Amino acid sequence: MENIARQQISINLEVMDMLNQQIAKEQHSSSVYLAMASWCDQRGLERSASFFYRQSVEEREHMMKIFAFINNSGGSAYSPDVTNIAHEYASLKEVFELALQQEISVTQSIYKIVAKCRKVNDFGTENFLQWFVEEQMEEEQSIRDILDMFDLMGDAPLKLIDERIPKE
Amino acid sequence: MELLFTSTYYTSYQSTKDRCFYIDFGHKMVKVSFCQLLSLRYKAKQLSSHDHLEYMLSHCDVTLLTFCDKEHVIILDTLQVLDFTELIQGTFAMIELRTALTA
Repeated sequence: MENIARQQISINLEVMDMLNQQIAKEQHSSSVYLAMASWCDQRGLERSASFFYRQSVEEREHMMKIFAFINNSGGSAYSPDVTNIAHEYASLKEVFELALQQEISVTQSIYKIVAKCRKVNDFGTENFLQWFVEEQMEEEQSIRDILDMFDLMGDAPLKLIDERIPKE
Repeated sequence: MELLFTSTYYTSYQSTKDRCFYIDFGHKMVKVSFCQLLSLRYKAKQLSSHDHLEYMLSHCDVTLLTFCDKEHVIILDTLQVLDFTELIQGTFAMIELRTALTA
């Protein structure tokens, strides 16, 4: 008997479900960063605002990459609902600390999918996710560097710290 | 047509000749592509979620299921929702089993 389903889809279904959950996570991250950008923008922290606007766009691009991958593999990608976005923060440092937490959570989620791919021999998806593994390492490091800078600057005025947030 | 899975009320089949699947809902037989079957899998997950079942139990005991781009619509009560979910899970378990056996 022919396996019609396998002829239509080249990724594992459980992996596809996890990728759809990852789409929701990436979109959630994009919205969280947009809220952070807005908070910074309203307080005149222009470099920080630009940083989070860029991050928001990047997260959306990640989401779109996964979205296209699922559909191009014969699966079904689903557009996610986004809720529960916080818009209040105690300080600029807290904003970056939460951003690092957000990135760590996304990294852990990617690792779980890679582990699942290995378990079910979905090597195509594992190969696709390698780009995300590298990207997450870079993103975590860029926010860690900013938090290190906060520690080095001590009680310096907020504007001075903001001016040292990377432009790109 | 080859039988894939039978639940209490419904049955799924695969047709190698037509390169598609069929679901027998009792009162009608519906032809679905693999893509549409994936969509039904997604809907079954939504309908059998805790929140949706709780809503059905406390407000009304029926829900509408539309599929194949709104070509078909059926009304399901709570037991039928659970049975439909079982059919979809069983159908995909059989598909997965075949994938494993033919790998």
